[in-house]
Amino acid sequence: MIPAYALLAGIFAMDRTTAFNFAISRPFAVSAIIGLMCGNLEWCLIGGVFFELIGLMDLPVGTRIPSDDTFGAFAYSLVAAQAGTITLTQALCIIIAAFIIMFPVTYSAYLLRRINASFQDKYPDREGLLILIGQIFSFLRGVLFYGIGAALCYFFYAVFHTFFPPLPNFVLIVFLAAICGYFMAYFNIIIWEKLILFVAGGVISWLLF
Amino acid sequence: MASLLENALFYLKCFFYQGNININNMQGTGFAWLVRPLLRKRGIELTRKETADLRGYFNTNPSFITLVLGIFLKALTQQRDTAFSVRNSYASACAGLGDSFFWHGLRPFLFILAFFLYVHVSEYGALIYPLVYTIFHLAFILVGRRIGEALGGRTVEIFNRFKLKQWADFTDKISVILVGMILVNFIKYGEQGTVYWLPIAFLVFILGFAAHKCLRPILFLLTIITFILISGYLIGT
Repeated sequence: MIPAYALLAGIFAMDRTTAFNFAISRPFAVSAIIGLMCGNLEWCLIGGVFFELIGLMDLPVGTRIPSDDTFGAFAYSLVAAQAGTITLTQALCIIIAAFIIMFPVTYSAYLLRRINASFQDKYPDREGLLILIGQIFSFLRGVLFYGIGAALCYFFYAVFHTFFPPLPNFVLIVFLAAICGYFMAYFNIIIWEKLILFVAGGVISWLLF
Repeated sequence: MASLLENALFYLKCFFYQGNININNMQGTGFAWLVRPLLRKRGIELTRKETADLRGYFNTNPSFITLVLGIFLKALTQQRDTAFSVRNSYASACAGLGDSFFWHGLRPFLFILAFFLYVHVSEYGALIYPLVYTIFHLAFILVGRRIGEALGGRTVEIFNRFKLKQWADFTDKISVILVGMILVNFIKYGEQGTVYWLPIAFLVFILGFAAHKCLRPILFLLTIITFILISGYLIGT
């Protein structure tokens, strides 16, 4: 499976920065794909939701490079899939580990832009070659940084999770309610309308589903 | 047949044109890579300054690349001296429109819809997110050049007619309803599954909402996870 994961890491990194733009690099999609491949979709998606929310609040406006949430979801999902049946505590430990390693991996995107700029200075009129070099580096960034990052994430998780006892499942509801509340602020609707629509959704779900 | 192949190659290149994204000219190299063969085919020769401008700073939403390219080609044949300023101003406008439509509207909506479908319909519902996003992306790529070349500067009228910027308002409302449905579904079918959890979850929801005023997103998420883990550790010991 390792070559398949390495290939996926490269494709996700390309989709995120230099190619396709098919949203397969969005954290929720990354977690869904890895979860379906490994048969641990439910726990993979917990991390997918977390990193997707980071992505939705940290937008790539203009030339800004946002946090590499694709890596976060990739590393989390790989570790969660390898760990098999996990508890909520373990899931949160993996999230923290992936979250910490996400920052140096984000820096690699700056590095990629700098490398591309240096090639562009050297061969300004060879556009085809520059595009090809950029795509190769982008793919390699995924394979190397995402791969090494995921391995480090597994190491941190293995060390940390033994310190924390299993948490009851209602903590997941508290966790989800808090991040749903925070996420609400990002919708462009007036506050009362937001609350009414949210409560309406809740009532519909309680009565109908 | 040759024309069909050329078109296929052009659209294929549109998925890779960001390859040289960099800190100097962003997508400028990619834009030049896409435009050069089209100019050659039309027999348009660029001066040295125009060639440098073609590779100069350029940045837009990737879904609108063909639209900006179409507008640029039309401007190049009609008012050549202003073609590059037209390109840059439409690139910025399309970047803003893309931020509003794709980032603020479509992405949160599809994420919540996919999560909802995963919870209620099928585990494959999660794949709706990349699937529908790609359909929109492909649609804009495929029709963009034709619209841009046909309408030129009047393209913005089409967007105003479809009220593309207002779509985000509608998807936001649907998203809020779906968030309520997902959260209540977790409570209903979770281990606790009782009505008493509804006010508690609502209270935490309001606290999360209020936290937006004082905590940045990453700090908020780290705080809440650390709080849960530390309280779990203290309860355990």
